[in-house]
Amino acid sequence: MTPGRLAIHEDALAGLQLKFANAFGSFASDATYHGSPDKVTEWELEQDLFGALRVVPRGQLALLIPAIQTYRKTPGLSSFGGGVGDINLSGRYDFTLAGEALYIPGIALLAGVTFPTGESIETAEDPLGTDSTGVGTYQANLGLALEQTEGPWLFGITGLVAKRATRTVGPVTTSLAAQWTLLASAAYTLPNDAALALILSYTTEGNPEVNGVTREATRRTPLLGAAGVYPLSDAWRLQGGLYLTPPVSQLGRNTPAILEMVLSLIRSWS
Amino acid sequence: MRSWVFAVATVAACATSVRSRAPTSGRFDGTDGIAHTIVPADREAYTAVVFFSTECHVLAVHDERVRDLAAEFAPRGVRFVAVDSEVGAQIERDRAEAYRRGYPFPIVIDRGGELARQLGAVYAGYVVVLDREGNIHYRGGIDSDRVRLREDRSPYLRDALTDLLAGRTPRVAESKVLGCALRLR
Repeated sequence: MTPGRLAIHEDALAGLQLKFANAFGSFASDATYHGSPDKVTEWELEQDLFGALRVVPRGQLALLIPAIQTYRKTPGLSSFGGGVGDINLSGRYDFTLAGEALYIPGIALLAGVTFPTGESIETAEDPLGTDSTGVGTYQANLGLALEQTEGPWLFGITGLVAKRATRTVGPVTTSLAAQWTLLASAAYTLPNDAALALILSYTTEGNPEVNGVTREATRRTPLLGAAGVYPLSDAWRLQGGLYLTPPVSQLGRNTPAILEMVLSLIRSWS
Repeated sequence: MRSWVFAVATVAACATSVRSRAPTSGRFDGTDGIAHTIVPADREAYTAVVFFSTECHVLAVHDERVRDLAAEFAPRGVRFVAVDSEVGAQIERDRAEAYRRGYPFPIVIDRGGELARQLGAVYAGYVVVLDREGNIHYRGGIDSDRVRLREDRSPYLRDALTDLLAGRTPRVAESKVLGCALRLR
């Protein structure tokens, strides 16, 4: 759930991740895709400090501290703001490792919690909400990851469920539905440990409840990605990725369409 | 932090009851057409057993270093043998691999992976050094590098063999392996 996953030979790592996302459109409640209107711009920049530590031979903990800045421009108004985002603490336990057995894949349990350390949209002061950096409540994640190697190939499927705590802001109590994500990936490792991966993910979220009344606002978010890792040495590596919400009607619902670039520098200890 | 992690790993390793002695009686079919024991023969002092995988790029990167070590220590009484314990290991494929990689020693087949389990081999590139009685004097990696080979690495295996041949206890008797998972099931 964070970029800081330890390889089987690593004891710890620390890294810096830079993200840039451009929202170029959105999917409406009827799943129709609409490009952003002319003269409307939304950019999000993020810098994440993260680290991971192997606490038992097959278990690791990771911490991610984000800083988020948003630029929004509408006709006659523009704003830039940001701050510390929601901090995430996650864990991973590998019951089996990919490649250990012919028919049994690597099986890992994932769990995490996101703390509301960022500024929620309700407490944002900027008229365009650019100083909002968090969801304003705790979020718990649970997941199961399956992986298997075949020669230089690594195939993976991960299922995640996330649930946010109920929030009350003034007279309004909101309870968001569970968010389900299915992520599939295929990666090819080169002899120098560099790797290229294709990633496909799909997230769905049911209707929220507002003051006990269900609102029709399901979300669906598809994402396609290509990522790579390049080892600068046995201890240092660069990771990067390009992610796109395909701008195709019916694929998404109630969600922005984004193009996101990610670059990370990681130092590991074995 | 490392010492703490190592302590946990050591406890875990003890719990899996890896032997301190290797089996001395079994014979394993080799790519040279001979059935080998893994303990040294009469004129040899030690055997360096290198766990092998055709798929592991980390071990492949170390091929030249393993060849050099075998060439350096063979005249001094150390026999090298590679062991393929993986599911589906085939003598013909390993024979081709041994030839392609220029190994001056055989690859033997450990059918069922029993030897790997007895010696605690989980990763390709794991090395065990044993004497004629099967006593294990070193277990761990070839050196401290993974795929980016450096001149200033810690040459664990070379140091262990040098110490043993000089009549000393290896300065590092156990080290971490940075290789790939062996497919043992």
